[in-house]
Amino acid sequence: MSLIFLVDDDPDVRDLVEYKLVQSGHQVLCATNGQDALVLVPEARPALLLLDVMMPGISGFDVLEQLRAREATKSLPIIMLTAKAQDADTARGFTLGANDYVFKPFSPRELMSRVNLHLVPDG
Amino acid sequence: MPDERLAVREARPPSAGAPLLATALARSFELVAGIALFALVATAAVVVMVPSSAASRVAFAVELVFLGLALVVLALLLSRRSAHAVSQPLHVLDGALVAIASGDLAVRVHLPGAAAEIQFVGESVNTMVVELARLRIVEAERTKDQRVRRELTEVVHASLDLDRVVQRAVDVIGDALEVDRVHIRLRERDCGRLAAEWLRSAEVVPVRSVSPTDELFALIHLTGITDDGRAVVIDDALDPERFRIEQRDAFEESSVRAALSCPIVVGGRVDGVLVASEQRAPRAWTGGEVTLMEGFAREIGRALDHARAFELQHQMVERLGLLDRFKNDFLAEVSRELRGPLSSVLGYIELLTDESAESVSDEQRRMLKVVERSGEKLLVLISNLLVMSRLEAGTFAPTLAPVDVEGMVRRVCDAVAPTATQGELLVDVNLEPGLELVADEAQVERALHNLMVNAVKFTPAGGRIDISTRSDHDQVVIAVRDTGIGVADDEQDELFSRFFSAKTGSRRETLGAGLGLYIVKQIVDGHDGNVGVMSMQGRGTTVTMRFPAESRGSHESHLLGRRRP
Repeated sequence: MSLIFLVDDDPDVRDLVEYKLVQSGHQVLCATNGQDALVLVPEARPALLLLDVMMPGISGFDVLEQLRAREATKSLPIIMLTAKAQDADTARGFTLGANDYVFKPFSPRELMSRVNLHLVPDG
Repeated sequence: MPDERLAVREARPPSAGAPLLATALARSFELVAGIALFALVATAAVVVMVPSSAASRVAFAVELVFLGLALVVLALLLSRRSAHAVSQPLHVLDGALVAIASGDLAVRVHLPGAAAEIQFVGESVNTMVVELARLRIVEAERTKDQRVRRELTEVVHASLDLDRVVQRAVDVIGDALEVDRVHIRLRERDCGRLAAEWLRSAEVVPVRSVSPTDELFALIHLTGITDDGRAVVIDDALDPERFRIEQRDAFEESSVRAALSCPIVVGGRVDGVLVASEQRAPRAWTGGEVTLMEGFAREIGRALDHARAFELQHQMVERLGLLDRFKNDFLAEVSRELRGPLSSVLGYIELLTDESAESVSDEQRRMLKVVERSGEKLLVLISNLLVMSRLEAGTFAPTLAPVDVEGMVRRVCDAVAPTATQGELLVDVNLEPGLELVADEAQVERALHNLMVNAVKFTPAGGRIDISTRSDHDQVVIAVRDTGIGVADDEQDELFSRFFSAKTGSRRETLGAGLGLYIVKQIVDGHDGNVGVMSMQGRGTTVTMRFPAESRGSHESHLLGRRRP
């Protein structure tokens, strides 16, 4: 069982992902925007972060960049959730240090397999 | 105006003149009279001296010979003189004609002593030279006029930048008319903006220092300019018989002593004035100058019209470009925004069908499948919208890499299999093993997916769909054949156009946004390939995509270039 942190501004998506994660036996903490995430994530020290890209205020890319700059979250596995299916966006995310991408709309099954992949080191 | 080209030089002979015939007669008369005189004297001598001796006869003969000789000399002198009187004026005439022929039009023939006929010829020559000189001046002015007009026309057509055009125009006019000042005012809202000014020298008072922002063409009211395009000619602005005191004051304030004012008429409205003015001295403007100025004003009016039309067009193009960008941004935004809710819809359906299997009845499961299929259809539509917005924005360049054709076809088949099964369709796959293609895998997969979705959509239950791949020389051929409703012959050409919507009823019922085939074509074109369709209504359709096996990599420029010239 791991602590997984989820950042997404869409409550329905949050509910769906949380449901699936809890069902798989994980603990879940949520934030609804980038500002909160920047405060809460380093404190919570989760095993993995699911981070939405398109959010009002600070975008997922900005959050990603700032978290990577901090010692506590430098090597935290981060999976970006995005509706942006453009190569340039993907490339930007990887450059900024994202571990993986899941494109919306995603299958909860597919999301879980990605989460499990990144929860197991060298897996 | 006196012209130095008209300065006269006189060609005149030294002697005085009398009629040619009379002169000749006089000369002959002198000769005959001399001979007669000789005869008379000789006879007298013979009578008086009557020589009887031989010696005296000899002496007489000698005297007679001397006398004869003297008379011959006299006659010679006389004839030379008469010849000189005729040839001298002719020589002068000859010299003058040679000078004229060589272009010297200042020559004048003056033959005071010559015969009347020769003097008449001389006067005719003089008349001719004067006329020639006048014609030459007219010709020179006409040439200058044409040159100036040509220059101005060039200026007007060289640029659509109005300020540059009017500045060049006043420069050309200033040089041509040799006036103190030339300026152009153009209507701008209700004012006459000073658009351009030319000054002969630093001593000339610039218009901008006198009236930088006048009311709606004070000059129009002042001089009575109208929209008929005719110039108002002011030889002397201080002429008390022509102008009232307040008008004269106004002219004086503006440092205008003489002026030629022409309206610049655009679309039947006076939209500006072209003014050439003298600051200090009156000037008698010639008809040619007036015509020239009116011509200039017309040209400038034309330029103004062109420039405004161009400006308007430019604004329109910019606005359309902006709208186009808005549209693309909007499409991209909408397609992104729609993905969020779809995540929930499809995600929860997956949870329901996967995990609540026991509590969902068969009927409910069937309903959930419908919701799921609809959600997936929506997703395809949204993806196509996004692709289209990227195509339109020119950011849909393919990223090339080796593609495992078989694997790609299998994935697409898996994706459409549930819908095909639902529609009771048989999908048959016929693949050439080990086929490889250098292309953008995601794009080619999308193209094939769109073709498969169409085939499934337009093939009635019990039909079949064949997917085949093969290599043909240096091309990879991917074909999708169905036994569906087909496309009418007259609609096949439009099949790949944007938002194509078939007239065929059954087809229209099932058609989506009409983007699928348009995107297929854009993707295949972007890979330097081609796509063709063969269809018979009621029998089925075959769509064949051909990709170069080794791509040439010109796609980016092709796609970008199409939208961003």
